[in-house]
Formats: sequence, structure tokens, C-alpha cells
Amino acid sequence: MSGRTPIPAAVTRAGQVASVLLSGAALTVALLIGVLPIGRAPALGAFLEPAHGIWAMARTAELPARASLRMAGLKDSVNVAYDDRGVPHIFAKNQDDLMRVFGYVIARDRLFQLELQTRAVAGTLSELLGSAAMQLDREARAQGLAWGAERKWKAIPDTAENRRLVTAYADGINAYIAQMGPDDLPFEYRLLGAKPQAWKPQYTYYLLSRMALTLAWNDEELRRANIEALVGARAAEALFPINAPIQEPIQPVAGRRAPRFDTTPLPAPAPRDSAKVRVAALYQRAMESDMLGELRGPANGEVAVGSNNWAVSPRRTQAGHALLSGDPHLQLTLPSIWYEVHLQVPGVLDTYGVTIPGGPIVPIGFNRSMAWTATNTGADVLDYYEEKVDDVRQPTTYLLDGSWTPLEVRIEAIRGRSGRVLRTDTIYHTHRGPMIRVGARWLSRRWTALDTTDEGNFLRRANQAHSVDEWMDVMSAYGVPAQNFLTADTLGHIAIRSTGHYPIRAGDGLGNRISDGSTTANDWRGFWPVARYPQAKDPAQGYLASNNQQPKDPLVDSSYFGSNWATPFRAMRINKLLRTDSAVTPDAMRRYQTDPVSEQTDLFTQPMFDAVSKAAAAGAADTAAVRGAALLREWDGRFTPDNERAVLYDAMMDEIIQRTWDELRATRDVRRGPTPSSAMLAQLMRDPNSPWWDDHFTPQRETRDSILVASIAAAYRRVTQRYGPPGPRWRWSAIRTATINHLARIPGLGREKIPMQSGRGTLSPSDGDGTHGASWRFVVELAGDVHAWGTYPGGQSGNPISNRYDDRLATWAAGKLDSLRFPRRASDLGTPRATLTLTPER
Amino acid sequence: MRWLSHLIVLTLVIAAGTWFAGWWFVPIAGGVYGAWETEERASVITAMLASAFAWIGLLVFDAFRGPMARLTEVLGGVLHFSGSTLVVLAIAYAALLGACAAAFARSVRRLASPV
Repeated sequence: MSGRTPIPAAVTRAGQVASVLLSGAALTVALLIGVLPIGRAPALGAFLEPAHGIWAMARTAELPARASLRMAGLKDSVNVAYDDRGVPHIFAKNQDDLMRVFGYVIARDRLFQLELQTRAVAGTLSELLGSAAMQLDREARAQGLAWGAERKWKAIPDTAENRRLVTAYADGINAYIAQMGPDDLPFEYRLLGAKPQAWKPQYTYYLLSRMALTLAWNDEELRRANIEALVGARAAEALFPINAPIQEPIQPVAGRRAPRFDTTPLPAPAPRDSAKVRVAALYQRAMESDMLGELRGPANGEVAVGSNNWAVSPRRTQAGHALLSGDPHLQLTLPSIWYEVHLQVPGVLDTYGVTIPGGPIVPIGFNRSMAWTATNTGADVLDYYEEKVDDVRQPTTYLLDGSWTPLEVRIEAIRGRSGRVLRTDTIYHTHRGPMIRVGARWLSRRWTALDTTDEGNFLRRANQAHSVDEWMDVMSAYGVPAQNFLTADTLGHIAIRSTGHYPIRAGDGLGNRISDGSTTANDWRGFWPVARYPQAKDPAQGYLASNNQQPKDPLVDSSYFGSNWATPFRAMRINKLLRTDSAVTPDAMRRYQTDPVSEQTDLFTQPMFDAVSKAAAAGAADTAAVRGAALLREWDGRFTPDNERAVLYDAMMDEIIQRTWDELRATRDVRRGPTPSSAMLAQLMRDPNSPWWDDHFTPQRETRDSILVASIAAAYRRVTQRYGPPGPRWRWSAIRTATINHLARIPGLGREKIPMQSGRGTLSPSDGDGTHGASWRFVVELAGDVHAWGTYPGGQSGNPISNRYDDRLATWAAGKLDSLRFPRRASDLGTPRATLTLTPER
Repeated sequence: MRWLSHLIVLTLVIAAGTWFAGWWFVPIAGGVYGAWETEERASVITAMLASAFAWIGLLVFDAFRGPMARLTEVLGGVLHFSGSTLVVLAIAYAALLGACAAAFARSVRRLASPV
């Protein structure tokens, strides 16, 4: 007898229940993985599915060859033709339509950038990126950037043309967001599991506030207080002087053909005490800023964000037409800060150039009659006032002209991704602006960036100007950020003006010390008249150039304009090149932009060679110093990618700076705060026995020569230790590279180790970490038909899957420029890369 | 033959459903199929394979319409693993959804039927 024993029904039922439970649990887990985000990763279901998830981005990476749509609010049809470089040429019949479509086009390529920039100013990054961004949000809100932008927007009359056009631009952005299909959602939103927010017109002013923060923020008073506590008032004044020690000003000095050197010896540092060091540390902390560090680069004594521009009169160019070069240096990101565009409304506007997403203007570009570009003035337009408050911990009033005046209070709640409040900050305002606390002191800030001027309006009108005179006239009321605007026109004129609002101050007119806030007598008295601005038109020398240096030689005008100017070596170099070239060509202008020579190298290497020779003759030279000096003698002084000696010079300069400015550190292990510029170091080189050469952390007394010998020896040891013996591993291209991070620092979306032809003091400088540099280079020839060439590090698209995301990097890194298409009509483009036709909604 | 035709039809249904409705259509289709198919052992495998094939088909379509290689490279860089791993993960996830849903539906059907 055989046979299976029947399984009891109860057992079968139990097995079935277990099966339901097990398979149900497995299904639940699979579904939860699909629905819930895991950590910072998005929910996998929508992310991984191939129809509309991340993979769909492959289908939408490039612009469709032809697209058309209806758009509400348009009065007439608008044609957009994308050229072979992905630049949209927008042909509209009126300005309102132009702005609406401009907004649409910019959102189509840079939507995430628009939102991220806005949130950075609004202090709402944490809502998108999580609590890691909280410190940036706190800083943005404390600075009052969004608060100031909202004030600007409210101050613009409802009937103002610019308000209408900015609103049309915002409508265009929102029209794009509204018609976006699931496949169009930008990459970053998918990673973050977020959706785009609607765009408000005032966000354009948020962007302008951000540019003001990058370019017009000035902590001069805090730096001075910090340095003064460490080395005394006289020394602080001399180390960060109001007047640059090397004068190669923007406003030419008649008859001068070489830079002027100030050879005044530096006063000795005052003895320090521990109380002063504590005060210095307080100011040091007050200056530390994640946001500013990100935007402006490491503050290692040099102004990290700098720019170049120059223009040449027709009589000094080969073809007899004015030439203009623009080369703004900013933080390098992918996508780039810039977006190239051509805007045309017949009879009104025909402008080509770069725009910053969110700003419906072309701040740097050209039209059929003229070209314009800018460098930062670095003028002091921010002052600190020490306020007396009723309660240091929780102030409610401040003393003003003998009476206690209520403080304006702003409560800022910072929220995380879930909407939960992460932190609440209270910001206090006096009539001057927001306050910060430094120890037991409250300082208020008066800053032009928080004023209610409408810069967008001036720049938009300037885009339509026909001559340098008209341009300067339109821009005369422009306020912030103050810029050295350089222009050239087809009539052969060139002109420059440091344009912006410069405060008229009480007393001696200086703005580099903290003022007493208890009296309105110390408030600003107004702004400089335009006639007083540094400026020049068609100078006898036949060219104009600006490189963020002190704009006027104090021998010409000693008015306080700012201090701690960018090092003058870029200015010295371009002036030298332009003085010696009387037949400049567009290609020469291009070459100058990445010229590999620095005017500073001889100032440091020659004394070092002499010092090493003397020490060797006395039998006191270290072998490493002798070897290092011998290697540097072989150097041609050029920072070219294949150079194998520039690395040693760079290391030597680090060592000299570290050993010389020891007085500016409380202890040897403490990080140095503000550092005098290399121009100041060059001035000190002329005084071999200055007490500043002594390293006060060592028992012996050092001189210039002993510091130089020790520096080259240490540099040689450091470089050989890191890169081995002299050889290919010393090649500059492997060492000085650009690092272009993604805007939100998403790993994998940036580009690293891009070789650069740049070094200390070259026209194309780059800071130590390579995150800042030439953000847009262009050359314009103002012939009857304007010709232009340009490029920027990145590409037109913000989509990392698109070929247009980084297609210009190689051209940019090689110092080359693309020819820019400037068609009078769409048909002049031939076969465009893509077209977009927008027609009014019925 | 019957199994193959089921597989083809289910693959097409899941592909179309994913396109028009989204990823959650996969477990729904897998569940419906698991509840409907009486050939119990085949139902889970069919749902699993159909789900995987449906997504493979859609991925191939994506690859024909755009730079899939660049996309996987970028994703690999961002997520710190090979982009192709993510492709495999996507296909495996579809298979998991389809199989789990079919298995669950099958076991519920069994439980509901008399012993």
C-alpha cells in the first residue's frame, strides 16, 4: 500500500495564508522602494521607469529641430532660430513679445539654474537641498538680499515700462513651466525629487542682488579692525592702503608711459597683546562667510574675482576699426553663469551678448553700432556703524541723535525639504540697514545694494544705444554693482567710466573705519556727481584698459574710493602690450586674453637670485636653495601649459607669503585672515631690512634675503617631494587646472583638471583651487558690419545629458574664440540647428 | 505557444501602460495577470519576464531617440557606480514589481478558492 497522505485542510489554509503574507510583504517592500525616497536619493519608481523617468532625458537632451506652440499674452508671432552653437536668435515685432519669449527660451535651457540662484538669494536653499544648505540660507537672510530686492520691486511704479517688460519675461518663464511635459523635467529636479517653483517678476531683482553681493560687498571696516588689533593702526593703514602701491590707473594720466611705484617703507608692526588678539578673532569670525567664499573664491590676499577689459582706437588697429575685448572673471560653474542670446525687435533693439538667466538684459555684448563690457570697480559702497542698543542680547531700540529709536525686526524662518522649520533667526534693522553682532557690539550696515535703484532699466535702455555717448548718458543714473563700463562704437570712439553710486561721507570722507552710529551726522550725504567718476574718452594713448585696479591715480584725485585694490599686474601687462602694439588685430586681442606672462615674476625672482648667490658665496646657502634658484633661472617666465618651472615659482611665492606675513597670525598654527596683496609684497621687496621680514615665531631675526633663500629651498623640497625630480610631472598643465563645479555641487556634473594658461598676475589669472576665472571672453570689431568672437566655459544647455552642456570647454581652455553669428534676419542663418515658432493664443 | 502569446501580449500591455500611466502600472498589470492566469507556476515567471521585456523595450526606444550612452555615463558619475548598473537595476526593478504583484495575486486567489 502506498499513497500520499492527504494534507489536512487546515494545514493547506495556513500555507496559503503564509503565502499571501509573504508575497504581500515582498510586494509592499517593492512598492515602498518605488514610492519613498531613500536618504537623499529619489523614490526609485518614478526615477527609474523608462517612459518618463530619468531615462526619458535621453529623448529630450537636444532641442527638437522644429517646434511651434501657442502662447498666451503674445501680440504677434515670434521666431526663434538656434544657430550651430546653440545660441537663440529671437526675432520679435515688439518688446513685450520679445521679453515673453526670452523668458520662455531661458527657462527651456536653464530652469534649474533660475530656481537655484533665486533660492540662494531668498535663503530658501534648504527647502530644495536640505539642511546642509542652512548656513547659506542664514547668511542670505542676514544680508537682507531678498528684502532689498523686494523693496526695489515695490518702488518701481506700476506704469513703468521696465516693470511691464520684466513681468512679460516672468510670464514667459512660467509659460514654459506650465507647458512642460514630464519628460522635460530637468535632471537636478529628478535627482532631488522636486518640482520647479513658479517665477515671480521680482526674482529678476533677486538676481541683481546676488550680483551686488558678488561684486559690491566690502568688509573693509571689519578687515581693518581685525588687522589693527594685530599690528596697530599705522601698520594696518599701510598694509591695506587706500592707494595702491603700484599705480597703473584706469583713467589714463597724460604723458605717462609706465606704472608709478610708491616706495614708502612700511611702518613696523605694533607690539601685540592677548586682549587685542581676542578682538581680532571676533572680527575674523564676523568676516567668515560660506556664501561669499563660494561666490568670490578664497580670500588669500588677492582679489579672487577680477576681470579685464580693453578697447583700442581705430588709429592703433590694423584694420582702422575700434576693437573691444571683454573678459569678466567670476566663479566658474556648470551650467555657466552666462547664456548667449541675440534679441531683435526691428527699429528698437538688435543686441547680441551674454545674459545671466533671470535678468532680461544683455549686460555685456554689442549691437549694430557699438559694444560694451564691464569690470568690477571694487569701490567701497558698504559702511559699518557701531550702534548703541538698549539690550545687547535682545535689542528693541537703538540710540540715534539722543533718542531711543525702535529697531525694525525681521523674523526669518528657515525650512527644510519637508517644510518643517529648521531654525528661526531674528534680524534687526536700523534706518541704515541690517545689523550684525560682533561680540558685545552691534554693527549696522549701509550698503548701496539695498537701495531702490532700478539697474535693470538702465542696462536695458543702454542695450539700445547707438554710440558711446548715448550709452554713457543712459547709464549715468546706474547705481550698483559699480562697474568700469567700457564701450566702443562704429564711429571709432572708445570710452570708459567707473559707473555706480559712490557715497559722499561725513568728516574726512573715508569709509574704511567703523563709524559711530548714534548720530545721523555720520550718515551718507548723497552720492558723487557723474562728473567726478573716474572716466575717459578717446585718450591720446589710443586705448583704454581696466583690470579692477585703483581707477584714478591719487596724484590726480585723492578722494577716497576704496582700498585694497586688485593687484596691478594684469593692468601692467595689458598696458605694456597695448603700448607696444600700434596695429592691433582681433586675433591679437584674443591672444592677449590668455597671455602667459606676468609682470610680477621679475620683482620676486631677481632679488631671490641675488640672495641665493650671496648666501652661496658666503657658504651659507642650503643645497635645495641653490638647486631651486638654478632651475628658476632656466624659466622663461611664462605660465604656459607645457612649462616645467612655473610650479617652482608658484610654490616659492606661497612660501614667501607664508613667512612674511606671520605677524597677521595670532599663533603659528592659526589660519591667516586678510593677507596683503602681492603688490604690497613687491613694495616690501624694496626694503630688505624691514621688520616685516622677521618671522616672529623664530628666535633669530630674519631679513628679506634670508626669507627668500629659505622660501626657494622650501619650495624646491615641497615640489620635488610632491612631483619627483624635475621633469614632465612638473608640467604646469598638470598643476594649474580649472575646476568647474556644478552649480549645486552635484558630483559628476562638474568638470575638473582642465589645463589653464594662467598664473599669478597673468591676464587670465586663476586662484589656487581653479574655481574662478574667465567666465566669458569676447572680442568685437566695430567695423561697418560688426564682427565678434567669443566663448565661455560651458555650454548653452543646463541639461548635463545635452551635447550643449559643455561643448565650449575645449575652445575656452585652448584660449580660442568662436565666430559669433549676428544675422539681420532668421534666413541669414542658413539652416538653423533648431527653430521655435510661437504664436498668440486664440 | 499559449505561454509565448501571453508573454508578448503582457509585455506590450505593460509597455503601453508604463508609457501612459507610469511605473505603478507594472504591479497592477502583474497582479491582474497573476489573478487571471490559472497556470499558476507560469504566471509569476510570465509577469516577471513581461515586465522586464517591457522596460527593456522602452529603454531601447529611449536609446534610439537620444544619447543614452552619455546619460548612463552622467548617471554613473553622479551616483558613483557604473551607469550600466543602473540600467540593470531598472530592468530588475520592473521584474521584481511584476513578479511580486503576480505572486501576491496568485496567492490571494488560492486563498479565496475552496480547499
